[in-house]
Amino acid sequence: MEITLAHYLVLSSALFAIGLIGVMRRKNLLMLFFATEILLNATNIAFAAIAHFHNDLTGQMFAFFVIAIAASEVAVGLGLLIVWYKRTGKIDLDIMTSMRG
Amino acid sequence: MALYAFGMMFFDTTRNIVEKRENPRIIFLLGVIAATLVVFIMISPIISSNLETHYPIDAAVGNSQAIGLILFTKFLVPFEVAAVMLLVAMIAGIVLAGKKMDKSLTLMAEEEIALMSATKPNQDSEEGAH
Repeated sequence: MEITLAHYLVLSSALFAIGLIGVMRRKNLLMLFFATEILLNATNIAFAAIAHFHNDLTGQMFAFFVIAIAASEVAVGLGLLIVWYKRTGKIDLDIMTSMRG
Repeated sequence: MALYAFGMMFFDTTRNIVEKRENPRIIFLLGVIAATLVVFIMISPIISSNLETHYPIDAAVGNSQAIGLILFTKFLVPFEVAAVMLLVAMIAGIVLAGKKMDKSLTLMAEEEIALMSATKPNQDSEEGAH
């Protein structure tokens, strides 16, 4: 069976759904970061696959910049997580109710 | 995100901040604008079906070589901006994580840790007062 663009897009959509459910349902802040990584990497798969099947390098370039964004996001997020952990001793999202909007 | 962290660096994050409640109508308006933007982004490929390749893949050179060539000619400015952003994020992460790192919990005795955790609520209430 030949692997076509649709297979990659189905894989990417499945990963995106998993990541989205993780972002919505996870209560541990560290697991939330993992879920955002899954989200970004799902889009990366879609970009690379479309770039290959469309015979264009722009998608691959965009995937590179998405990787850079993901790296900086995790660096900053982990810094904030450490600050929160030092302050409260917990990384549970349910207790973060000090901001009521 | 990096800019946000850069702002967070200058605040004392170990105390509680009382948030001012904004006007809910402005939030509703901004939400509607964001939703319409998302819808526009999603339907834009359907409207414009004439996709054209800007940087076609040349089979003669390898993929890594082609990416390197395009990255350092066409995408040089975004590449440098991404590098600066990564540096800012790294510095912000170190500064955020490095606050109060002069006190090491692993090197302290149990009594000192108990004393520190006992005096911490008083500090918070003092700082929250002003």
